[in-house]
Amino acid sequence: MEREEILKKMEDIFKNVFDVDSLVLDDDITADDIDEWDSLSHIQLMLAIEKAFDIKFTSREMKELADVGEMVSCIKSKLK
Amino acid sequence: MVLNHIGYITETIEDTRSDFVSLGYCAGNIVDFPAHKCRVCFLKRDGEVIVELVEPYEENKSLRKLASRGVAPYHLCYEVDNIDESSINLQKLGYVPLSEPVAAPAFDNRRICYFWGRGTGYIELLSKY
Repeated sequence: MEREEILKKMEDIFKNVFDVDSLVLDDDITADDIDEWDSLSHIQLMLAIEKAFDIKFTSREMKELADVGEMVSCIKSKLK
Repeated sequence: MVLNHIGYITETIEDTRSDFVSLGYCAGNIVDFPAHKCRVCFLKRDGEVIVELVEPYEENKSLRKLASRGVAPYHLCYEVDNIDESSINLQKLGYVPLSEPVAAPAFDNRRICYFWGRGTGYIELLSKY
């Protein structure tokens, strides 16, 4: 799956987790850009991403993936 | 590491407090915890584990979302001798830290912090001192 495809799928996940219809994701988006994105919703977000892509993050990845770009790269590496 | 309380999430702490009192619990005062954007209240029954009710502030959107699904237990709190050491140990076990230890007014300003574990869900650590 290409980055653009992953990003598009993640956009839907973000919209669902954060209840925001008008969200456009790019690689630079971080928790600072989304009001509801705190440590608790971060876990929910990561679990939703795991389910959508049928992957598993390590606890380190759960903790350290801080922006959308890093998440996309990580997801891409797990889908190979 | 000793179980101190079970945390229950609720949208309306007064209502849930009343319901637990009907089950024979003694209810404490409702305490504000601005650092974690919530109000809490402790419920006790002799010889049993304490129940903590947690009502998130309106602006605490992620916890409000959890609360909107209904009153439910959502974390276990363990009292520990050394919260910094215990935090490191939990992370070695794969737990994800959700917050740095902060003083909690409801616990006489003893420090607390939260973790998430894939197998156990949300865990809170409470410093004994």
